[in-house]
Amino acid sequence: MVGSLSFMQKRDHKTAWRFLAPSLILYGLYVIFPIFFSLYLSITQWDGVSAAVTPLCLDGETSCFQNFIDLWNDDVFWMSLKNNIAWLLFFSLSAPLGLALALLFHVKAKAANFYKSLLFMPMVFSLVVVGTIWSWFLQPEFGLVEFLLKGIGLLKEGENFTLMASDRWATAGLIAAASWPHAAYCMVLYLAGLSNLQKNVIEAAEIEGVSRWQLLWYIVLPMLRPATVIVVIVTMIGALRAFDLISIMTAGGPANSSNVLALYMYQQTFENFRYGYGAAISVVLFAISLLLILLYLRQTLKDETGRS
Amino acid sequence: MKVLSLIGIALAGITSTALAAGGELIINSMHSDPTSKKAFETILGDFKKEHADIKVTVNTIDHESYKVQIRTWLPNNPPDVATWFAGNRAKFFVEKKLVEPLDDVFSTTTGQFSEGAMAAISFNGKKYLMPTNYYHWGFYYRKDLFQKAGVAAPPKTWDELIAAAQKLRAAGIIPIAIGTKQAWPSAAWFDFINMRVNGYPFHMNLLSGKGNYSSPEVKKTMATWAQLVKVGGFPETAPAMTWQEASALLWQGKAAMYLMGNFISSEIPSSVKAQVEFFPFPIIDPKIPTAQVAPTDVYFIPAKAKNKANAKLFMTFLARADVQQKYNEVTGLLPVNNKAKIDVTNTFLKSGQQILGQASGLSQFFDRDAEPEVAKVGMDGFVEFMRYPERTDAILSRIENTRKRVHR
Repeated sequence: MVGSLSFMQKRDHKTAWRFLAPSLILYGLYVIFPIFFSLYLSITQWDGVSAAVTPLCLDGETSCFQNFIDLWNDDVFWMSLKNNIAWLLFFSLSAPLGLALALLFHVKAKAANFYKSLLFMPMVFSLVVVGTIWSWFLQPEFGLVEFLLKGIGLLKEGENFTLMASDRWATAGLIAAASWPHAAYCMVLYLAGLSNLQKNVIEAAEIEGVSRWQLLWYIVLPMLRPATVIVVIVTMIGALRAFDLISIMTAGGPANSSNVLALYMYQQTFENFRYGYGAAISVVLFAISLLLILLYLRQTLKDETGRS
Repeated sequence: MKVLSLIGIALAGITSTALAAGGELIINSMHSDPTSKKAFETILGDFKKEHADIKVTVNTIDHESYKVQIRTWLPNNPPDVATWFAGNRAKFFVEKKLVEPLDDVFSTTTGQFSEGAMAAISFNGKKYLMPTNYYHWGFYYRKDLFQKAGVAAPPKTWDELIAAAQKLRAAGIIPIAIGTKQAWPSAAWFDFINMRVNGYPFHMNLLSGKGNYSSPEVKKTMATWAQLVKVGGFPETAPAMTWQEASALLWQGKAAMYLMGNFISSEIPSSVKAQVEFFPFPIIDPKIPTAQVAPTDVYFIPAKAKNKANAKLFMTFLARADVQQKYNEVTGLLPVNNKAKIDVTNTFLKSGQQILGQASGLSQFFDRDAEPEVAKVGMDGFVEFMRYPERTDAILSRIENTRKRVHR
């Protein structure tokens, strides 16, 4: 009896591996291998054409980490990092915004469904489309925002709406545009969370006579925790890998003032053909993402085990 | 009779193999926009008629992807003919021995190509590229707005340009439109001013990576440019606009001048067509010979091409005046073969042919003449400069540091 069970288990394992194999191979080929290959490329100076790819220190350089030393002295790298931090801070505002929208529309009514689908619409668009639409909105001379501001008298005739032309404020315009679809995404995640709430707990609280704020803060939010974990992670990842929208709306300009690491990596690699340097940027970006997500997951798991 | 005709067929077969090997010809093209695609198909049809025995395959890839992908297929698995740019962008591949010399093809075309054009396709004394078309750069301006602001004639000198800018500003008109959302339009200004202030040889030497961007000569170029920035020559909204959006400023009558390539002349709306005319970039130092910016499209044979004989046949075909004429009747660009005729009723083309013919030298545009990386740092720097001209020294030293690293 015992022997046949372990035989069954063994066979099950084999079958499981067979089923897993296709996705594991793909995952290895397209995720694991590129990570390590990028790590390797980051210590080379490959131009994308030369056949041989040798590490820098075997190629006449004093240090294998020359790319990272160059990064340290690169103003654009620091500017991009600063912008990524701004993205992390301000892009995450779309999470409470999404929560507010979810709370607002978590009612059973036809009108609510209509508004929900309206708000959800930008999620359906590709980010390239979102970027193009917002470029037009924020366009000086011909844009909608300038037209509206002129209409209400905030801009005088002959003045222009120069947000996207400003090296200080262009990133603000980008984050606003990116938050539009992302807040909708957060809303959907929270709506799913809200529909899974334990009704009896809320009813009990209402019978006890708690205020709406107390209900939200002490009962609904803790119960929404699984949704919040997902929202925070997708928001963090979204802020770190911001790329398509920036590429469309400013291409990192004016003069790199709205650049971010992901876009700078792309520009160095595929526009300047510095594959090694681009890989070095991607290694830094990878390290930052990994660190943030590990820290957050660890904290979350700690809280989970602490409570149970 | 039957036997004779059979022999005839066999002979015909032999002669055609002697003339052209039959077989294949694979062409990779980056000319994916409808106009240049159509132009290429027109002459390709003629080539197929002349060489019915060659099986021609064309792969058209969009411009930006082509620029990235060429690095993968050129060293490993190249076609027989590929499209590219003249100047330093091609030099990169020539130096890596990835391009087949074309001296035998050019041996039959003496006198048909100008010396300036030959300079752009020759490296270390050998000719490598077949130029089919180029276009000129200069000012497109609104006659009516000039009149309104009291600017009597198109500026011929730098001082006249500054004066015109001041008058237009005073009349509430943006003197010169520019959109630097993509940074490249700013580089045209650097190219022209540097060539006018320091001359063509200095400019080309600088961009090939041998000069110093922090030198007093380049600082003089930037100081000249700054004069125009400081009198409000450009719109402050420039970094938020693409070059197409900036051209709308000109069509809507908000801006009076626009430094652009002649590709813009086909986009002038008919409502303002009568008001738009062309003038070449003004003279800054009368002692310096006048050079022009003229990006040139070329075809070349990769060194590892499989059907080189057919590829050479195609190059000889492309060099012909009648082919270049037919090609550019569709593209609206200027043929490089000077025996090819142009549409003389097109005043923009006529001015272009005139200024390019008299030019002491032709540059290919900043981002083709300089290394891609230097070009990127340079153009970003120019955009910053147009907003903060007081940062000139810091910007130039940033470009210079990049140049030193790239060309060490």
